[in-house]
Amino acid sequence: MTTTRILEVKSLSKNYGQGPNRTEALRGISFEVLEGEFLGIMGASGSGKTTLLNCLATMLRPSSGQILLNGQDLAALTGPALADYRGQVIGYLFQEFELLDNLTVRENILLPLLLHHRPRAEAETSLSIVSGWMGLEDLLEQFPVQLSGGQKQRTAAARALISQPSLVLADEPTGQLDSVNARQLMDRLALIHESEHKTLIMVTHDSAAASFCSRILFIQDGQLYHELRRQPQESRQDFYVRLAATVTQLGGGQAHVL
Amino acid sequence: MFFKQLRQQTRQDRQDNRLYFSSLVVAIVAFYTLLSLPQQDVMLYLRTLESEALQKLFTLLPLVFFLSLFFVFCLVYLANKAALERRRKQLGLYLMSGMRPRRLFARLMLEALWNSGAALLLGLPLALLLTEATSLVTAKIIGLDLLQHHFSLDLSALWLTIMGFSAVLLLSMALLSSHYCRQVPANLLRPQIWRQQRPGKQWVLRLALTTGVALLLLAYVGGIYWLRRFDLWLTALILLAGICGTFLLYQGLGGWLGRAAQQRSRSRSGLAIFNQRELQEHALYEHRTLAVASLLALLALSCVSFGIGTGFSRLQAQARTVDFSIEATQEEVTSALAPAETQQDIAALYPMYLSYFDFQDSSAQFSWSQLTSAIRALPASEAQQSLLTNLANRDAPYLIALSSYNNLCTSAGLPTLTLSDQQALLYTGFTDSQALTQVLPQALNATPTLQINGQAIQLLPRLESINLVADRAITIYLGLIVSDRNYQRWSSDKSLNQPFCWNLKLSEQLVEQDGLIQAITRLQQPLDAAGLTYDSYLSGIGRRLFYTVAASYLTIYLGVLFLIIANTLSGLKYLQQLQQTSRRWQTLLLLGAQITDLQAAWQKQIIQYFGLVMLPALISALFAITAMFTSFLKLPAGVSLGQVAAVSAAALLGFAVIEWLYIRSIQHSASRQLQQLASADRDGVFE
Repeated sequence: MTTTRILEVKSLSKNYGQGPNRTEALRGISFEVLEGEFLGIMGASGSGKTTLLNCLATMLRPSSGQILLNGQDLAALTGPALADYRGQVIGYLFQEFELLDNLTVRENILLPLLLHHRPRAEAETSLSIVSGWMGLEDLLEQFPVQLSGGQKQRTAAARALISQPSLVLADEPTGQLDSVNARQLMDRLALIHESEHKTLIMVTHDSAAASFCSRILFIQDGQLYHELRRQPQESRQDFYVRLAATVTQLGGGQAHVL
Repeated sequence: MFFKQLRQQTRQDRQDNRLYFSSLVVAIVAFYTLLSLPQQDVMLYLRTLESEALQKLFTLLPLVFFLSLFFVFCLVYLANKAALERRRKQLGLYLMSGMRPRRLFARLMLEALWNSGAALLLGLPLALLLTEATSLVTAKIIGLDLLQHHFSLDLSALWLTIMGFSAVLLLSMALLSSHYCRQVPANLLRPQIWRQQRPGKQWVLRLALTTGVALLLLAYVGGIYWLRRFDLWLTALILLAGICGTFLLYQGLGGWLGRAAQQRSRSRSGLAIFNQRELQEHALYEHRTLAVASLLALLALSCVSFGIGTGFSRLQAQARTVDFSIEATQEEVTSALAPAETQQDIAALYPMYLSYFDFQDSSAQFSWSQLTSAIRALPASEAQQSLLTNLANRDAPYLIALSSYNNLCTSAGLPTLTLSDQQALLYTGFTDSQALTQVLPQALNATPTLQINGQAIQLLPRLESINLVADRAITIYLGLIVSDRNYQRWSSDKSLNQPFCWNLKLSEQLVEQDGLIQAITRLQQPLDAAGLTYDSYLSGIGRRLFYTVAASYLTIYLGVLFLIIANTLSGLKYLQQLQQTSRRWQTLLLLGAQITDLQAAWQKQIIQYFGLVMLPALISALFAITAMFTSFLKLPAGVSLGQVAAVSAAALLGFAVIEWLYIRSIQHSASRQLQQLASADRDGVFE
């Protein structure tokens, strides 16, 4: 793993509403992500983890602070530069897949490349690679409605990966899946992370899914309050045990009990 | 509080549904215009000339009004259904908050009443303005200077418009509201599952497409070849084939568009594929709506074409040769017109001698044989066959005395004719018959002879067709202009003292000075005073004007109404889908699509969508119009195709303008939605 810093988040804040209705979703969060890292972000519901991911994905404009990707401030992106960032620099995996239900699997996966007018031959090559990664070769002509939840999420993952993004963002990617499909998806993402050295940031509150990460950031009430790293020789099972213990210790599960 | 909420909600409804609201206003204008027709100046004037025909037209008006109401009801029902679907959650919340279904029903009905009032407040003044403007423009175009325009407010039309429109709006809302108010709140609060693309059974779609195209072809061919037989069952069969064909065509188009998208998805860019898939989706799930809209557009095009065709067939200018044809004796006529001031208004007064061939005479013989031989020698055609059949069924033609005909020529400013006792000229009043105006003159070129009472009479190689009377006292299929001596010999009027009528032509000076209509009206007074029966040239003007107004008014009214309903229907369905699938556009934005690309794709998609509705309608209209003009709607011989083409092109241009306005309006609404998406971008559109 290289030690190049790919992402820097500096004093990031995000507020919703105004006056008495003002809610602080993020309160001055700062962290860095190294290239090739698989970062997990955990926290209870309403802790601000999805808001953080959406700020990274440029789906939300931060209230203050900076997000630098390869030194480029995301707040400065507008128009074509913003479109290029969304389509080519990052890949986004949504909790609810967000597949276009009127397009086939092939058309859905190819969409980011075709929107950016990439050569057709190159697009077809990338399609065969990512569909191979995600085991979708036989499903390319199907429509989303014909797919299982796992197949849908693998299609969404293939779409997120096809443009060879520098950073893949995933918002609760296993949230809509059963345990078997969730495991399959995470296995594939982990494999791609290993073999392609992709940088992944995943928001989850599923400890099993988080155990695939190399580092976990814990958020509570819009602030970072703990970090957990997987040791180089540590097995995933061991990391899961440590992670589960930490979650219990930190009261992640109790956060819902007021 | 309640009324404030009501006002806000209805304002919001109108803003969300501008297209629908505008169509309601147009419908109100159309209703009032139609219902106030009997009170409009042109009709009031025509009533003095053609009261019987007008009465028939006016009895048709309620039928047309109720037909229009039915179509507007369908439109209102669909539009309100879409609006309530959007408000499902709100309605569910009202019920959950303890609002009783009956109260919710009353609230929805009040909203409908409020919206109806707003549409009427805008539509009625517009309708009044339009009817006044139409009256003025029609009078100006037709040149009826005597029309003394006065503002007219038809209270019964106003009342019927308000009642009809409100009834339609309230009835549709009552049906829909009762459905929504009966739902359990959970049903309304549950997010609506948007249909998802399913490939469906391909063979079913292929079969539908093939059968649809085959049925349409059958209707096209049948329309052109069988409609002229005027067989009720055949006509019903053609209509049924056309309607079923259109429905099946749209059902099958979904599959075809999908296959085309699949083939193209390997070569085209992302948004082009997306657009094609969206179009496919419309065809797959809205094929019935598309078929109905397309059929309405076809009806609209056919109605307007029928209107133009009928207008033309009646509009053919009748040359003014006679101003009055008076059915009276010489004494009665001279006495009625004796006063000196009347005399100076008259340019010519002469008896029109025309009569049947006198077969009472035992030596009477008449034979067309040489003429029929000359016709048979011509190249075979439908017109030739029709002429031969007609001649075979006629013993002899009408006889017209040369002196009368020459008087007619003189008063019309035409050269007089000279005929010997061995010569005759054929005459026809059917100037719109191809058989008579095209085939017969060719046969006359061979100068055939007729055998009359054993004497050979040579027919001169020309066909006369000047109007013999002022209006329609008589229309002769085939007449024979003969010397006065022969007229006396062959007709029953041996002493030349039983004219068919007395023709009168007004002095040109009087016409120039007072205008034709005033001049004719002035001379009607002594004739009316004497109690004489007469026809005047004015009746002809009136009748043509009536047919033109009736044909253009009713058919164009229906045509425009159908077009508006077709466009509103397809436009609403498009916007409804757009709203329900807006998340797709958000996903495209997040996948890196640029706003400008999305805008361009959206604009293109709207044009493709309207093309999907209009293209089959245009093709069908082409065949429908051809079928009309080859069967029950024949243009008179004198009307050039160029004239009709010019008017048709103008009508088509009008259609194109209406279509363009609708497309622009939909594009504008869609663009507004996209701008809302774009401005919400990075401000939590996915939150």
